[in-house]
Amino acid sequence: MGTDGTPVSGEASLTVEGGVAVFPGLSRTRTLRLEALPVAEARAVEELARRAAFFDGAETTPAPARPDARTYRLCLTIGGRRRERCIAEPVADPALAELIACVQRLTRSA
Amino acid sequence: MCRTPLHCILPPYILTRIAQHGTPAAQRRALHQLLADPTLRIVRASTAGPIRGQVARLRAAADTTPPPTPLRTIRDAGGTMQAPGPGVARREGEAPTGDAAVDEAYEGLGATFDLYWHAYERNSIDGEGLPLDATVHYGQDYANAFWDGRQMVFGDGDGEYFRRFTIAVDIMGHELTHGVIEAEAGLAYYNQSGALNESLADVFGALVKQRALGQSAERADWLIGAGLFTDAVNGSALRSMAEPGTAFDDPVLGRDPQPAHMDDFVFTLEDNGGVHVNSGIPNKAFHLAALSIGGNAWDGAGRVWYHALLDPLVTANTDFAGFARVTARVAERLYGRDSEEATAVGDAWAAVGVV
Repeated sequence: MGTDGTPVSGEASLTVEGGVAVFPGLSRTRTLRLEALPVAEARAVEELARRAAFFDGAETTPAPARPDARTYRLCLTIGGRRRERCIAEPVADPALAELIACVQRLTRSA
Repeated sequence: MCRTPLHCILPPYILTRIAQHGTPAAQRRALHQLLADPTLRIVRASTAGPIRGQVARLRAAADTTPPPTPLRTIRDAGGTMQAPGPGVARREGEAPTGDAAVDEAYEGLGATFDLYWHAYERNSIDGEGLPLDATVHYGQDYANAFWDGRQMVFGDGDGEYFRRFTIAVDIMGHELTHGVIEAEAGLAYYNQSGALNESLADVFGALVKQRALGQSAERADWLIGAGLFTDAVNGSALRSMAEPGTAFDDPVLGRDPQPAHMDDFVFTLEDNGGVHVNSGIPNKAFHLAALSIGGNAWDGAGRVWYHALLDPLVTANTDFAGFARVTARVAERLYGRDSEEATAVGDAWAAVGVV
């Protein structure tokens, strides 16, 4: 359920690039429907996106790649809002880092 | 520099006479020597006779100053994605903690420092004793390690396919070497210069491991990241410098995509232009050169590659061929134009199709 009591609907997709090695099998985009998640987990994604201000603010140019650091391409569609952001490690914003970790965990187990 | 020996030993009053009454050419030389002479006399006066004061203290200190040692700090991110981690787990000189990741990172930083100091007389990452910092237990199920420009960051792995990243000492050498590269050639992390950056990190990571284990080039396994995979993975390591493209072939991870020859160079936009893919080519060149030269790889081929990294001709956008040319020149400079080492380096680059 959303914060106003409505069900959380939407989609989350994550592509991870980079890292200390290339694994072709792990570099595909993973997508999950929020409706398919347990309600508490879908609400967690929504809340983390709100705390990270994922849908707000101007697009920033990704920092130059750090050796072996990963780049996350995270796309969220929640409540009719959609945005894709490209985020490079190290992720300075703890809320954004938590959101990425949460989506990564959920897409891995989906 | 005095190019007229006679003038070097003549006292000033004779030089003055020549300057006044000699031939025009002799006058010019005498005048030049007279102008230089006061400086020489000052230098002689300051260095002749008994050494006292600050100079004496510095000389005495140089005889007794111990060689540099690492200054390590290992921090614990506690499963967060915070680097540096909020808590200090182990400082330089402190006893082992019992936390494997903390202690392995501490030892790995030490082994890397030792290679650079004892093999190349380089004092830490920047050559000036930069403290070595690392953060362990980064993130949840985080299967990676990276250099963030100030420190090394290590995850614990996901437990399913990857173990903790501090388990492989060559990975720690690899990450610290990214710092060395940043301090020296500054190779841009994209396309061929990025793949060269990755290859150099693998080269010195492998040398850290070989030196720590006391392995010659012939005895070494030339694997990068051996031990990182769990038993669930069909693979031996992240990369093989001896046989690029053969390190893993797994239903989940896929197949090792590294080429070993320029004929198989991979053009891609992913992975910053294939920096972890095409690094297989210069990796193979180093392996061939090290085997051909023989002995300890950090002494022979390693010395050539290290001095090439420091060469002013290696800059941000240097490609494979550019680096190969510099290693060839360095090998000639260190070992002689017709030396076996110089031949080995040239042959190695030719064998992988770079030159």
